Amino acid sequence: MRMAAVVPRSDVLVLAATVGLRLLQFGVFVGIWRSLPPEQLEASGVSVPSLLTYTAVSQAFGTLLNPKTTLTDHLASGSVSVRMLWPMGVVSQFVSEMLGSVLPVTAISVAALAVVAPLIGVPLAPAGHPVLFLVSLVLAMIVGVAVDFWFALLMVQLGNSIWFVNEVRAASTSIISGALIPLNLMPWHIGHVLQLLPFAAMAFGPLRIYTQPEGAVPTLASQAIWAVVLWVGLAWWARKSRDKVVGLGG
Amino acid sequence: MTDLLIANGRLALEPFLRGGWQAFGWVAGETLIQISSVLASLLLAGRFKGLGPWTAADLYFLIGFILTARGISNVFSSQNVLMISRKVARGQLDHVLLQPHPLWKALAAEGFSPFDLLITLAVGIGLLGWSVTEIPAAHGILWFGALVLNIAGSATVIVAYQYMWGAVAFWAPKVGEEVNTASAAVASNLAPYPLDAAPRPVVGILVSVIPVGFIGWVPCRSLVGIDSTPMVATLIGPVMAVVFGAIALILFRIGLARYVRYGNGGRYSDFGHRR
Repeated sequence: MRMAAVVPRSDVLVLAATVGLRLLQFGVFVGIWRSLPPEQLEASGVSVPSLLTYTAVSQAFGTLLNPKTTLTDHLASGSVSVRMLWPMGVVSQFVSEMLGSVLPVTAISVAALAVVAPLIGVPLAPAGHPVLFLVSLVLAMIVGVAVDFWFALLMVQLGNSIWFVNEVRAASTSIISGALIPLNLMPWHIGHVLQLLPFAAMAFGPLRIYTQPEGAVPTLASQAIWAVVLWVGLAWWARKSRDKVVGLGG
Repeated sequence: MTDLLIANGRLALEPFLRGGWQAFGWVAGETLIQISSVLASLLLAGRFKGLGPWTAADLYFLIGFILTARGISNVFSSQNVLMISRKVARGQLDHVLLQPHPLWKALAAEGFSPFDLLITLAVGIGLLGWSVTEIPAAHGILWFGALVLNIAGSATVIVAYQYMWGAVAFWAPKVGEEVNTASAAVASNLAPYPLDAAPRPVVGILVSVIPVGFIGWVPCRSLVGIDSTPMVATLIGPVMAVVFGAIALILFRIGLARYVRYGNGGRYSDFGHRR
């Protein structure tokens, strides 16, 4: 984890681009939420300040709300066979490497948002209990890593189609997890359906707990259930997929 | 040029003729990527019937406009021709320079892939066609001429923007690739939103160094009639497309002169490993 946390000087520009993208996305959504008709928002039980806070927290913790390990890359290149020789479990090595690389980015994003948000009148104070938010964030990451591993196994099953799996994953998760738009604001009852899926436990769960004073316990329970279901299912599917892992990629 | 395009079009058709799921997987993947990039905007239009001065029909027009412009630009720039930093950073520009054609012609022909984005283009044009019937400002041959001109301008801005930032790879190959990936993400993530109420510094960045505003927001504002002088304003998008095209061309030519002298900066080790 410590090794992955070291940011080489050559990657500083990339890091700045990543944080800059989050700030720009935050700014664009601040404008959008402020353009919405307040009466329609009130009918949905949401206020503009809570939406602004939702987006600020979503962008600040974005890398944790959609965690991505390097497992798919190692599976695609075949270098996963070398990783199997490491004196660590597969899950622990990929998770610790991921935490090492995302925690510094998250710390910088949180600091940047903490400075920028008040300057443009975005409130950051939590409406819910901060400790419950942190518990929910940890559960979200547990679910998120499980989802990442499920996609990695899907790639194994599809014969190392890394581009297809990565793109489908990137394209779908930010919307259906509620990281961009709160699920309860989606039209045509789509949000009700999406709240039943595990992706909601990755972003909508913790963001809702941060921005709403009630409803934390059912959200945490739902996240915990998904964490158990996904990891049990993952263990079973990993055993079934083991023979298809290729140790000589391209 | 026509022969080159036909030859590359035939090559692009090969995966489909071979059958199997790969070609259809690409089409499905490309379609999903493009649709999901505008999905948030689509959902907001469906839920709130408008954002500030934009009606729901205006927002659908914006989404259709972007999908169409993006589809057209990508038809001529697949195979990493749009993500030019990858060709530069990996030394693949050598393959293009070796061809007995001007660079622009070789790149346009190599990137020509008319089939991967067929569904995206169809969805974009369909959405654009439907929303035009709902927009009061859409009337007259001049307006439709302005629409075509602005779509061409928007496609040009997409390519110019990617080449502006892709040129970083001439000086810093590895970082250039990463920065270009991030710049592509910005264009994909932020283009389908109206920027009217965004904070001034954000709008300033998105119409200058990261000209995402000129991909959809600025041209569509004038086309749907939000601007007070719509017909004059419809020229802003195409004019800025020429400006950004010129900037990209200058930066790329400066970078190319360096590439001709130094190559891709020793990106590969002696035994062929990419650093």
